[in-house]
Amino acid sequence: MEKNYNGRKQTHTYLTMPDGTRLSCVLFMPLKDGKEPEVPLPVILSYTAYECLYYAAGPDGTVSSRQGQISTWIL
Amino acid sequence: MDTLTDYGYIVAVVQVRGCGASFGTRKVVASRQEAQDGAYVVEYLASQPWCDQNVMTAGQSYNGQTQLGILSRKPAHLRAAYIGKTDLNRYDGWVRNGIPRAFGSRPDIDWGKTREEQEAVLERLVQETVPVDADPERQLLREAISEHLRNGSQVTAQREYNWRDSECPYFEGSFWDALSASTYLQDINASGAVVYLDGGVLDVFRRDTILLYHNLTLPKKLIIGPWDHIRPKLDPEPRFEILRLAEHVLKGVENGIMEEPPLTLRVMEYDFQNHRYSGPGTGYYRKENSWPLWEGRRDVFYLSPESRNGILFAGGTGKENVPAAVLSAAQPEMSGIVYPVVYGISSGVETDDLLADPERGACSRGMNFLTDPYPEDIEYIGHPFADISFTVLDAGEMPAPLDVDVFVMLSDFDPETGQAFQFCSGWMRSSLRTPIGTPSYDFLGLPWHDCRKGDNEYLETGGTYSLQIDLLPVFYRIRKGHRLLLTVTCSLDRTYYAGREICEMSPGTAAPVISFCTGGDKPCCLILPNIYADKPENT
Repeated sequence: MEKNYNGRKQTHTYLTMPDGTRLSCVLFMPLKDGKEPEVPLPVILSYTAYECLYYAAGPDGTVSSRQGQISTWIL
Repeated sequence: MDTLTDYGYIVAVVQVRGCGASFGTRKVVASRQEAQDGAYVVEYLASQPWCDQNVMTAGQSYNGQTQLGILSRKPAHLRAAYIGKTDLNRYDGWVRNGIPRAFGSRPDIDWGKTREEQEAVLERLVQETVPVDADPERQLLREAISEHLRNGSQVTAQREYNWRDSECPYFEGSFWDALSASTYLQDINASGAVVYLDGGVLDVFRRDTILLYHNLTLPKKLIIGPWDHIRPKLDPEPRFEILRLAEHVLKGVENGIMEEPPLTLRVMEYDFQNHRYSGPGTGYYRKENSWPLWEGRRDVFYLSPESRNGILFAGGTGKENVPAAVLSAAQPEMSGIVYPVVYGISSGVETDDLLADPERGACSRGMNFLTDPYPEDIEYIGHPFADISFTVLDAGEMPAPLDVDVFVMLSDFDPETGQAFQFCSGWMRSSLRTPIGTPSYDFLGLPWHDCRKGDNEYLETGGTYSLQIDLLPVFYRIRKGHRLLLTVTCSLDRTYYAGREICEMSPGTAAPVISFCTGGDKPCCLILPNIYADKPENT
C-alpha cells in the first residue's frame, strides 16, 4: 500500500436526483502538497442518514468552525 | 478519513433524502426510494472526470442498510461494499421473537405537536446543520429542512408494527418485507460486487450479520471484531479493513485479502481490571472457513432452585440481598422457582454489568443462576439456546389477553472483583413461542417464528408454557475461577416488552407471578456449544 497524498480538500454541494430532489454531498478530495490529483481516483461512498459535518466548539466555548468529520457511524 | 484520502481515495458522504441538508422526505428507513437514489449516486460519482469509474460503498448500521439497498439496484460501477453491523431481515433484526426494540431513533426528528414547536425545531435544525458551500445564508437549507416535516418516524413503526405481516399506509403489503434486504436478496446476489461484512462480538445485530453472510453468494468475507454497536471500534479499527478491501478490489493490489480464510472471528474475554474488551489481554482472532464451527458437544446447564453457592447480589434500598441460585450440569429434582414479574428493569442488552444498578438492575430484580467456578478456561463459540418453561400462578391485574416476555442474559462473573460482564442475550414473547412457518431466507436451521397476526397463543392462569430461545451467537472465553451467570427477567430497558405500557401508565398495577420449572420433563436449561469436546484429529 502506498501513501501518495498528504492533505484533502472538502467541498459540500448538492447532487440532483432524477426527480429533482437535491441531496447533500460532502466530497473529500486527496491533495498532494496542496495540489489536486492529476489522475482520476476511485471513490468510497458513505450513503447515510447521519450528519457528516458539524459545528465544533472552539477552546473558548464559542461554536463557530465548520468541521468535516467521518465518525464511526459513517465509516 | 485521512487514512483513505492519504492512500488515494476520494471519499463522498451523501445524505439520504429527508436528512441533514438534503431535500425531500424520509417516510421510512431503508426505503426503495433510498435504494434508487443511492444507485444513482454511485453512477453519478463514477461518471465524474475525477473518478476512475471504480466506486465502493462503506459504513455500518443504517449505512449498512443503505448499501444493501444500493446493491439490490445493481449499479454498473459498484465494485465492492464494506457493510458493518446491520440486519438482513428487518423484522428479525428489530422485533426479535416478537419483542420490538426501542432504539434506532437517531435519524428521527421530533417536531413536537404545535405549529410553534415545529417552528422552533426548524429554527434549531437550520442553525445546527451545515449548509452547502453555495448557501451561506441558509436559504436552501431552510427549504430543505422544511421538507423533513413530512418525514415518518422510525421508532413509532417498530413499536406499532409488531407482526411480520403488519401493514402500514405507506406500502401495499407487509411493512417489514418492503424494508428488508432479504426481500431483494436475489438482486443483491446478482450485483457482482465483492462484499466484506463486519460484525461485533457484542453487537446487537451479530446474529443478523452472520445470517447476511450465510445468504450471500457473492465473493464475500466476514470479520467479527471486539466491537459493540455504538462505542469506538478498535483492534483493528474497521477503516483499515475498508482500506485493505479497497486496495484489492479498486486498485488491484494483491494483498491476499480474498485468499485468506473468509471468516475472521474474535474470541473475547473481558478485562475486569481495566474494564475493556479490546486491546492486549482481551482475546485473540481465529480464521475459519465456515460457520457455525464444528460442535463436538453441547453442554447443558440446568436452572436449580438451590442457592447453596452462598453468593448474594445487592437487593437495593430497603430490600434484602438476592441469593444467586445454582446453574449446574446435574438436573435437579422437579420443582419450581416462583418469580413475581418485575417491570421497569433498567438494564439493557448493551449493559456491561447487570449487577451495577442494585435498585432496578436485571440482577437485583430478576432471577440469577451461577455455575461453580470453572476449573479451567473455556471458550464458547456458536449459537446458545435457553429452554425456559414456566407456569402462570397469578395473572395479577394485567388485562387479558395475558402475555409475558422472557429475557435471558449470560454474564461472565468474576468472584475476585464481584463484577459481571454481559456477553450474550436473547428473548421471546411467550405468546409467540411456537415455531411456525418456513423461513423466507436461509436461517441457519435456527428456530423460526413467523410471528404473524393470529399466531399469538396467549397465556392463562394455571397454564405451563415452554419457550426455546436461540440466544445471540457467542464468541467468549471464561477464565479459570470465574463463573457463568445466567439472569432471567420479564422486562428489559429499551424494549417494548409486554406490560410496559400498563406499568408506565399505572405503576401500581399488580404484575403476574410465574414459576419457572426445574427438573421434570420440562426443565429450564441453558445449552452451550462446545467446539473442543470430542474433537477428531482432522476437524
